[in-house]
Amino acid sequence: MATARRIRGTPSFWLLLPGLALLAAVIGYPIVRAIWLSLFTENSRGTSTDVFAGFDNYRRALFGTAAHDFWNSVGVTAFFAVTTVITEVVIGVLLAFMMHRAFRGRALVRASILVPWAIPTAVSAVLWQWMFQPDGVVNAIIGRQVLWTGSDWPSRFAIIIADTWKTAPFISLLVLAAMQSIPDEVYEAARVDGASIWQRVWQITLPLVKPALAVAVLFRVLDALRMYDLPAILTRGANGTTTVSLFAYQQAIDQGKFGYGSALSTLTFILVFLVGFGFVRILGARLAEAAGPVAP
Amino acid sequence: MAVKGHRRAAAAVAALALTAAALAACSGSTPDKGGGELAIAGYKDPSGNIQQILDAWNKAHPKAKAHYVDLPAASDQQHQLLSQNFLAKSSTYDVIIADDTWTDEFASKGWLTPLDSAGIPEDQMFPSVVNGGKYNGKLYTVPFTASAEFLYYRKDLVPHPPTTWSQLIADCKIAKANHMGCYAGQFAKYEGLTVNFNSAVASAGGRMMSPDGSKVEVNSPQALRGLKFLTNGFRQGYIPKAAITYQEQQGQQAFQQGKLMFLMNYSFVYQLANTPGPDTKVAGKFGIAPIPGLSGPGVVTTGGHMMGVSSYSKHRADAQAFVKFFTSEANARQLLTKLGYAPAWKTLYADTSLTKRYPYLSVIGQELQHAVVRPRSKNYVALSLVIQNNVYAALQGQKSPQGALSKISAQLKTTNAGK
Repeated sequence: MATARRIRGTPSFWLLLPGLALLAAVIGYPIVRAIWLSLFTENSRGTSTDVFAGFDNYRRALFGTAAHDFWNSVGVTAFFAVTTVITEVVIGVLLAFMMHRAFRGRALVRASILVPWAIPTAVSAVLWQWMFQPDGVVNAIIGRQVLWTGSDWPSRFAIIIADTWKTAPFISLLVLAAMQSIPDEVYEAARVDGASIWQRVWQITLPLVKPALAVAVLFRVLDALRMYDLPAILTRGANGTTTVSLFAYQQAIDQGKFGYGSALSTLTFILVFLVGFGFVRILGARLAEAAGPVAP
Repeated sequence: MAVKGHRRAAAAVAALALTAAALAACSGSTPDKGGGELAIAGYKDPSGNIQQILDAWNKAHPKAKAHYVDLPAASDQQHQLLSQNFLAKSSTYDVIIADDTWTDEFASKGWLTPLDSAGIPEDQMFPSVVNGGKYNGKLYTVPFTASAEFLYYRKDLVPHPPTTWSQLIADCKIAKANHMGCYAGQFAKYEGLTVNFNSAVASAGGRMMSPDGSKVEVNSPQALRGLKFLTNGFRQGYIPKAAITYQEQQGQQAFQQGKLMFLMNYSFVYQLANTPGPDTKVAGKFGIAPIPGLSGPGVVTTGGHMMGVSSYSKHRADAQAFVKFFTSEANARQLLTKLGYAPAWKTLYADTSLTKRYPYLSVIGQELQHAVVRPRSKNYVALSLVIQNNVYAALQGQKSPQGALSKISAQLKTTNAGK
């Protein structure tokens, strides 16, 4: 009896402390250090980054000499985020509807549909690069000679296709899980009331999977804003596919400009944070209403 | 009882797994090939021939044994690792293998020891290659191989290789009649494009920078003619459209499949294309020649793998002796016969037994007489990126050749100024 009370009385804070300390060291320290480093620039020899520069690095990226390249990459990133998320949601929801019906081999289909998601992005990027070669598989199938990695719009489409292939399954499975938790009685009641299939989809299924879909979209948007592996491997940033992450990497790692690179990654962090924050704010209110009637 | 034992066993397995994972993670970070005083950091050599040279050194110098530390295969990753090592002023690496384009950067930052007193016989190596290792008149890195592209041509279709660009373009009607692409090099947006652009500019009599590296001279009529040879190729069709995606392998494959009549590439293609088999349709049907230029033979970009001594090494004297040993003529001969590396030594190109076995040796030897290196810069990576971006846009027709050159010139000036 006494032991139980003592355990219950122990502040959970102390139990969480080791875990929190580890997180602070592994996640918190690099962020703080990067922000600190972004306030410096290299010495004249380039042997260390210890010349205090205040917000010069930020100024350079936002309105200075590199502004054109930086805002270009922000535009490219935004374009990819919007197009890939829209395509993935549409295809993902369609896939979820397909898998929702009971049919033979459904378990196998559900398992195999997750394979693209399970393959590391870098590996699938190399795969797609090979397939997108001028004499490669994709051109052979469509019967035309498209320079997928050699011209502007084909390159962008190549990245969108590769990204959709990889992440539509993720969205479809999240949506499927939500679909499956909708009780059958709701559908039966609708059928009794004479609702057509289209009305059932629009007015029952979609509103009820909205919370899960919103979460999936939030994840995907934040991921897409940080896209790096696909443009780095498929096109090396050519043909207008340099995303913000790739741009920061080229400046920081390839050229050893750690101060400037840290400023760029801090800006990326702020950008992603703002978008995520805005999303949660807008969706948060709607989620509260939508979750009302079907609250567990 | 049984349940408790089950749980204990599970806990033990979990603990073991975690420890194994932790150990694996730790051991992965410091590749250790067992003791030894000198650490040689370089790209992984699966053939084991570089290790043989180290073994010979170790036999002769038991008190200063050398062991090899593998760096990743991609040169930009090697550059990263080496930079991090030097920035940390670490004594881990004594000798490093580097691209010739990094010499300026590493030497200017004080990361390499001058090798002038190491007794390297520079006069017996091609000046164009040795100069890649010099900075401010001092020798910092020594080449142990010299790379140079040359022209592969289908001798069954074109009996005499072209020596000028106009001859090459004239020969292209034969390619058209045979439904083949005419000419290709490396035109994807990567380092190979910088090499091709550099060669084209030099072959037209232009140059990117002044010899001392202080002035940008790329915006010249000669350089424009060089760039136009490439852009006209795409516009007029004597360079196939697909070549905009070509790195070394893609061009090699196109040539081997009989889809290309002229190919500018390195020596590795020779064996692969000439060995009869399912991969090649051109075995025995092609010849090699120095690359053509605007009004005569062209000028090729040479680069090589260089060896340098870290200024943070604790065994600099031994390291310098090692570099002299590794880059000696005997070892250059071994690297040629075992790995096909073209040497930097002039004498080896005069050896008829070698030139008979390796037909491309005499071609490379001819080209090395007046080859050029890539533009010198302390921030070569940024410079190369500027060239790649603008030349690629010009090849795609998105920028005019003159516009591209003006852009390159302007950006090079700011890159070189604000390093």
